[in-house]
This record gives sequence, C-alpha cells and structure tokens, in this order.
Amino acid sequence: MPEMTIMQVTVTLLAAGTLYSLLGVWGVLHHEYERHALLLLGFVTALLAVAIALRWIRIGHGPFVTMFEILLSNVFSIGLVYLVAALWVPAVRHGIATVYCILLVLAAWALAAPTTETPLPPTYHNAWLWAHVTVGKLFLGVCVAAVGLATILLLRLRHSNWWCREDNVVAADRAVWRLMMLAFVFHSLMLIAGAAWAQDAWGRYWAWDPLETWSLLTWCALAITLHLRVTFSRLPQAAGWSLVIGVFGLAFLTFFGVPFVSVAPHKGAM
Amino acid sequence: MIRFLRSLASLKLTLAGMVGFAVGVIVYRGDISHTQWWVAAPLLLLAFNLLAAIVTNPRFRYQPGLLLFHICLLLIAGLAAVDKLIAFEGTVEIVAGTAFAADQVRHLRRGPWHRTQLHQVEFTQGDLRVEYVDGLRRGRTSSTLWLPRTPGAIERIQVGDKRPLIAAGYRFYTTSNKGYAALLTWRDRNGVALTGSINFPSYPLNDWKQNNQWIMPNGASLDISLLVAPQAYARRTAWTLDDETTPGRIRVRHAGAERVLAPGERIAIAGGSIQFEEARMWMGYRIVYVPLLPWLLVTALTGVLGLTWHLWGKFGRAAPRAATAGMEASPTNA
Ligand code: HEM
Repeated sequence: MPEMTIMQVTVTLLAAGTLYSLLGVWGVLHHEYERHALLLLGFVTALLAVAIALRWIRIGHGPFVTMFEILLSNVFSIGLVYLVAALWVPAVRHGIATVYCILLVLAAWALAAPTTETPLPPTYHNAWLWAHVTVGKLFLGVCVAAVGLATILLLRLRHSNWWCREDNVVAADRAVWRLMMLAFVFHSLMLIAGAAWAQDAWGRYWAWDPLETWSLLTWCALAITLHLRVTFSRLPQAAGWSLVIGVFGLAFLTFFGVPFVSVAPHKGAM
Repeated sequence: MIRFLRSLASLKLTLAGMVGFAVGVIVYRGDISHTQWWVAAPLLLLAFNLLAAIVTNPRFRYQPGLLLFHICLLLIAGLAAVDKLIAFEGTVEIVAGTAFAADQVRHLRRGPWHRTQLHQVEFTQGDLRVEYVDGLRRGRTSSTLWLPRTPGAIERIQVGDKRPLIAAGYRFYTTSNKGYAALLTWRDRNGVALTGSINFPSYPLNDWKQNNQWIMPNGASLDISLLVAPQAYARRTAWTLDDETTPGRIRVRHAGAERVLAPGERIAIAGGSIQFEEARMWMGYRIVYVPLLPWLLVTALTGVLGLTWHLWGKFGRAAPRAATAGMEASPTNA
C-alpha cells in the first residue's frame, strides 16, 4: 500500500524535523532554523497530499472513515493550515517545534492504526459532510498554530534567552489570541455544519452523543478562555497561554479520543 | 434600575454562567434521568446577563460585529427554547401497501405547546429497498411513497437517507429499523373477516429471532415465526433487502401444535380461522417536527458572520504587520 510507505517516510521526516526544531529552540542552531523546518514541513505536507490522493483514487472516497484516514488527513491539514498561518503571520513560526511534536504523535499513531478500507456509510454522501470536515480541520490547524506559540512562550518564561527578544513576545502573544478567536469562528461553524448534517443524516440536529457533547464543551472552554481575557485585564500572560493549551487538550481529546469510546452515531452505524 | 442592570451585566457573572453551563452539559448530556434545568438554568442566567450587557455595556456600541454575534446567541437560546416547547418526535412502522395512520405513532417527545397535525398527513407506503455494501454494512435506503395530490391524482416520491418526506410540517426520515411483516386474515364462525399485519423484529439486525405474538380477536395468543433462510445474506458481499428477498412462509404455534403456512393457506383455530396472505416489508420512520430549523441555521450563521466582522475589524490588516515588526527586531532573525 503506497500510502503506508509514504507514512513511514513522513514519520521519519517529522522525527528529524522535531529534533532539529527543538535544537533550534534551545539555541544550538543558527537562527535560520525556523525557515528550514518550515521548508521540510512543506515537503512533508506535499507527500501527504500524494498519499491521500492515491488512497482516494483506489478506494473511491475521501479520508473520512477509519482512524488511519482521519489521522492521515489531519496530519496533512494541520501541516497545511500551519504553513499558511506561518506565512501570513511570521510570529507564528516561533511555535514550529511544538507543531512538529504534535504532528509526529499523530503520524506515528497513524502508522499503528489498521489501514483497512471501509466503504463510505450512506449518511456520508452529503454536502454538509464537506463543510463540517473542512471547518473542523481549519479549527484544529489554527488551534495547533496558537498552541505552538503558547507553549514556546510559556517555556520562554523559564529560559528567557531562548529564541526571541521581548518585543517578539508581544507580537507572538497577540498572534496567539488572534488565532484563538479565528479558531472560535471555525469551531462555531463546525458545530453548525455538524448539526445540519446530523439533521439530514439522522433526523436530529442535536442528540448529545459523546462527540457532540465534547465538542460543545470545547466550544465553551474557548468562550470561557476568550472571556477571561476580556474580563480580567490583568490576567497573567502565563495563565492565558496555559488556558490556550488546555483548550487544545480538550479539542484533541474530542477529535481523537472520543471516537474510541463512543460507538454508533458518528460512524454511520447499521 | 440602571445600577441593577449594570451589576446584572457583570462580565464575572458571564464567566460564572459559562462555567455553570459547561458543568450542566457534563451532568445532563441528554440523559433524561437528570433534569434539563442543569442546562436551562445557567442559560437563563446568561440570557439575562447578556441582555443587561447589551443595554449597558458601551463596548457593544462601538463593536457592531460583536453586538451582532451576541444578539444572535440570545436569539439562538430563544429559538431553541421555543423549539423545545413546540417540538414533536415520534416513530412509526408502516407495512408496504398500507396507509400511514396517526394513531400508530409512538410519541417519544412532545413539547407542551405542540398541537398535533399528524392526522393531516396522508400517504401510502410503497416498495422498499435497502442496499448492503458488505454483510451487515448498510448502504443506501430508498422507500417509495404514494401521496394523494389534487383530487384523483397520486404522486409517487422516493425518500431515504438524507431525503425525508415533509408533510404538514413533519419530517419523516427512514431509519435502520425495518424488516418483514406477515399479513393475516382472521375469519370468525360467521365468515366475518378482519385483515391485519404483524411486524417481526428489525431485520437483519435480529435475523435470529424473527418471531412475534398475535393476539386474536378472541383474546388468545398465537406464536408466529417467519421462516428466514439461515444465511439469507452472505457476509462480506453486497446484497439488497427488498421485495424479491422477502421470505415466503411462516410457522404458527398454538396450543402445543405447530403448522407451516405458505401464502394463501389457512388453519382453523379457536372457533375461526387464520389465513396467511403474504409476507411484506415494513419501514420504521422517525418523525420530527422542528419548524424553526431554518431560522436556527440562519441565526447561527449570522452570528458567526458578526464574529468574523469583529475579528476583521479588531485584527484586520494591522495584525501581520505588527507581528512582522517584532520579528524583524529580533536578534535571532537579524
Ligand atoms: C456563551 C455565550 C457567549 C459566547 C460564546 C461569547 C463569546 C465572546 C467572544 C468570542 C468575544 C470576543 C472576545 C475578544 O474580542 O477577544 C466576546 C466578547 C464580549 N462578550 Fe461575550 N460571549 C458569550 C456570552 C456573553 C454574555 C452572556 C455577555 C454578557 C455580559 C457577554 C459580553 C461580552 C462583552 C462585553 C464582550 C466585549 C469584548 C471586548 O471588549 O472586545 N458575552 N464574547
């Protein structure tokens, strides 16, 4: 299966990229490391696009059903969204080491997941599926970009000689919150498109299934985090960044944890 | 009054309400053993809090996108509340060739303000076809319905999967619940005939227990099993559940004796007779009444639009430049 081979190459490249960017954060490498790491990520993302296309052509549907497909497409989409964000807002590049770590975990997980080919459930033949999956992936990608920065900013509190000067911190902090607002927009759209799809597919727009419940909780956590910053003007930066990481933790559990513990609804069961 | 509104509009109260809502969601999760107040109470608090804030908080006045978003949040809460009050949800199983009957609907949820109009719904169930892509993995479902139109005319429509029948504001969705039914005619001593049907459990989910009981007009019960070939469908290959695959015979057990009947055959029982007419399919529908659905969708999308507007105004073009400036000043990037 060619996509498995590509996935193995991807994991190797991501592991190398992780090591390289961590050395960069540590200050061992030349300052150009972020650019090199971005280039490598661009290459990995292109490879994954090929893997997805090959699989799509062979099995006749997009990567929406099995855990392998979901992980494969998420490593691709997170990589792509991050690249776009990093090109648009240069401060975002400082978070690349964390992004590599997250992608490495997802890609290694994909290697371990069964690659069985499953037909598309009948409820997946629906335009809302595309809307739902697209905005969901945009949400996760933007969230990862914010978390990449937040983690590095937190680390920097302990090691102030790492990677950037104080005026960079201001730009990076602003970028974190902008990205979180954007993530909130995409998450809201994901809930709306998901509800519209559920109405079409199962005749109900909201039924408190585990995925629905956990994504609503992620949405609440995002709203609480954004509001905390509005309410307490003197909220310590570190607390804000930690909350951002917390929101991502919840989103990660919702995206990749809940499908394991729940059955039926979101899998288009019998 | 203004003082009261100002304190009601407190952003700290908003946070408390949001945390309360999140806790309520975890406790409630649609589980009817917990009351809906776990979710409704914090929402009510947030609604009053937000209403007060919209009136008193100057930040909403000069941030129209943010105002639009929050107003939409309020509207969604209001629409969802009205939806709960007028909504209806039920299920019904209809045998092919028979008409929908409102009194057969099983009510699952009915809002206190719901005025039922199910009796206005008229249609007859036609053929059914469910494709299986391999073994028990369901593919497309299609169900033919016959609807009376202008006097004398009958329209044939096809529903299934994402396409419901919409009638009198109700949406009828096909479900995975479907199977076989036996059509039986009971004749008493005087020859008065009564035809009815008996549905066997959902197929193929319950292929191993295709039996049911029929209570005869005289009160006695009859055990009836549908004789399905043990491997009517092959695992791992594609197959179709439709009229063609409908089994032909039933087994009737009564007072220790049992008989196998083919279509048209009858047995004498308890002072009358039972005739097995034929086996047919039935489809289980889920019926929902959610007339506010389009409004909920439009309001939610408008809210997101407001938020995007706010984000655009707040961060817009200035964002990347500010960030770049920071980058350029950095010694590591010099
Ligand atoms: C659960 C529902 C709510 C959600 C999801 C929500 C979400 C948001 C978001 C995303 C922002 C923008 C934050 C930013 O610009 O960084 C915001 C701002 C704000 N919200 Fe809410 N909100 C909710 C309920 C409320 C309520 C009940 C109030 C009532 C007091 C409120 C008052 C405000 C105010 C005054 C701002 C001003 C922000 C600024 O100064 O820029 N919100 N809200």
